[in-house]
Amino acid sequence: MDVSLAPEHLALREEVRTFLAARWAIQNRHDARAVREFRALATRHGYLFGWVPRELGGGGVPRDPLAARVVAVEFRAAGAPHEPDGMGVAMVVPTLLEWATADQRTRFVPPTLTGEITWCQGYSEPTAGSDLGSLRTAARPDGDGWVISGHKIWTSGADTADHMFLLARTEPGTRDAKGLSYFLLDMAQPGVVVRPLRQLTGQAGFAEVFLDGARTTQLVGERGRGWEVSRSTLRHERSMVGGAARAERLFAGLVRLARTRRLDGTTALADPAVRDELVRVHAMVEEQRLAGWLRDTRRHTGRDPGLLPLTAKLATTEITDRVSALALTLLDEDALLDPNATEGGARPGHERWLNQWLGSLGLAIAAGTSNIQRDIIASRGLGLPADRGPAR
Amino acid sequence: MRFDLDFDLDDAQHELQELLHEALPAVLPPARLTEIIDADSDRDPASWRCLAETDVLGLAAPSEYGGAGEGVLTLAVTAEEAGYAAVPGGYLGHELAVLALHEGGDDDHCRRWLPALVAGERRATIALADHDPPTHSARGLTGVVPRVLGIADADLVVVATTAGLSTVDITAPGVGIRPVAGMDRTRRLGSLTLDDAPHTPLPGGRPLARRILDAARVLIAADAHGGARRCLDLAVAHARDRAQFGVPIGRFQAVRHQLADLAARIEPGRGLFWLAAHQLDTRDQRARASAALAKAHLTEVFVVAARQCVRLHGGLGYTWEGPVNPWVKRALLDHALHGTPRSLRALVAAELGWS
Repeated sequence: MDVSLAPEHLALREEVRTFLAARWAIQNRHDARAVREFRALATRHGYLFGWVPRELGGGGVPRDPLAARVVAVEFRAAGAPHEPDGMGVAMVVPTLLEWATADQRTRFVPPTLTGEITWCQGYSEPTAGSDLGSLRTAARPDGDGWVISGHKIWTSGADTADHMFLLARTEPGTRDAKGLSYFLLDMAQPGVVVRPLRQLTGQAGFAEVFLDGARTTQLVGERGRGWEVSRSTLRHERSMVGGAARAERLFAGLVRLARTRRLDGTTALADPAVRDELVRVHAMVEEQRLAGWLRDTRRHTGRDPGLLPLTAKLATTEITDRVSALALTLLDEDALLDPNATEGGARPGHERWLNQWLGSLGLAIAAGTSNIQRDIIASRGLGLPADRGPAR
Repeated sequence: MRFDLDFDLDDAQHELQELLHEALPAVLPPARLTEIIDADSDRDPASWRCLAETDVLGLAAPSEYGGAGEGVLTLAVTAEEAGYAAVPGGYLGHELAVLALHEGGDDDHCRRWLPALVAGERRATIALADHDPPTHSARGLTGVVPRVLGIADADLVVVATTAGLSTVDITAPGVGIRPVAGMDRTRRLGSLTLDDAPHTPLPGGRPLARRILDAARVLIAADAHGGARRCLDLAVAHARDRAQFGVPIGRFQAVRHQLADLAARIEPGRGLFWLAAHQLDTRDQRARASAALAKAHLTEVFVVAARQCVRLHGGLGYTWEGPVNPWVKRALLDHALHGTPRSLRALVAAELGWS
């Protein structure tokens, strides 16, 4: 066991600190153009997208994982834009690098890295949620392309994304995960209609998408192997690594909230019950941070990481739930307020944590509900006999 | 050069863990554990011999005294597997006493005690009072340590005093031992009464005493993690074997989800005690908070795991002779000994500077 930094990594840390001090100003973090320019600069310096080939707009030189970690920690500390968490970079790009043709890669990867094109995910349907393999949207060959019809739902960002990656059934008569294919679709066409759905937060974060003869020429991977293509994204585990970092950020925010709020005439952070619960959650956040270290270590040594890849999402969901419960306690009577009120132009106060409280409900549902996660752990992790149908 | 964090056991530690994972449960089948629970003493020659033969008893001792010079992380690996197997008796105190002698003992001390302790021919333990430790006077040590593991069989006890650590020969005048009826009958407790008892202070003073207390917390956390893993394994095995309504109960979604939730709580836990052990080994000052955090969290997880394991076993789980009894009681000992979760969390909050 050795979790210290070698001299070359300490040197890299200094280099990154100098770069950030000279080239990043925290007040630019909401300025889209400044963020884009900064990302391009950081990519040229090799701090971002090292895992993407240079001719596709990446850094081209994958950093060793410890160096990548050093860079990520410094960027986070400076509040500088790192590789975005969004679906495009986290899910589409790794999938394209693995499955797409050279032509598709050249066309879609570079603008996805810069954010010129944005993506939404067309998986769920009104009758295919957890049982995703049963989806009904159909694609039929037509000339040199495909014509797609069906109904997608819970599609985050559909109203702003200009492309969708989706699964559709290309082999009529099939009913399960076999017979699906993976497509890229341009959203700006008459066969695509987006109807925003308001979320519990009041905002239209997701939508339903009606596909009625939508056309595309972009089949990724072989026809009928779409399920495999869509699953390959999971192997990159990028979202899970991000999960621990997000939990750390969220928890740091909660501690700041506890420092500011007052309960019964004293700082909430001085309240023994608040401190006790904070340390309980701190232990869970630490567990996930260290589980990430262990997973990364074993990726190189080839030793079996055990159940850790399977339990990460349930753990993150639990952390998020506990954070939201404590935030509610800390808000006290301010929990009566609407966190998104704009009347009078006043910026909302701490009640904006109510958006986190509502959002925590979504985390337990998105990307595999908690009950689906439990089925996967029971079948694949603990080797229990199947309940009904194969767990995925 | 290293390309990533190396946050894992090394090959030798993995081998030791695999060896103990096979060997210890093999000498401690359920019937034997029940026998020990019902016996007058928690002394178990078979598992003690196994620990001696695998060189676990002297791991922390320097090689010139027959040990391996290993640090807290390796001790924690053995404690985890001892917890998994429910190893009875005072091995935990023995390992800590050897560590204290190695880190704080002078040559005289080490020559006199370590060879026999390493070989398992003599036994040692550690007496850490949570309040009012024994005090020094011109004539000796005076005070009471009310709850000491393995004291009934010990030849030597390392006592935390107001000034640091001292060794006390159990046969010396002024040393009194009384059994204490404890909840965990696999690890019996006794009280140690010192009345102007002769002692030899270990160099190292209070910093060493604090360090040994932190190491004790790490080892208990490791024991708890091992115990929780055993509870999960027992419950999973039972869910596969036990049939009701014509199918194994592990087919029922309610059972599957309870087991999955338990696995998700237990599985990520080892990082907490590994990091605390590693920080102790590298003299990182954050070790104090990490040890407290690991013990607070992992012993609570063990309590949950033991309770769930009882329920998943149905009536069998609620019996004295049943497969879960040893771990239910061990969970309660791990929870309460050397800092309860509540008090340790208060310590962590203070160490993190939450003022």
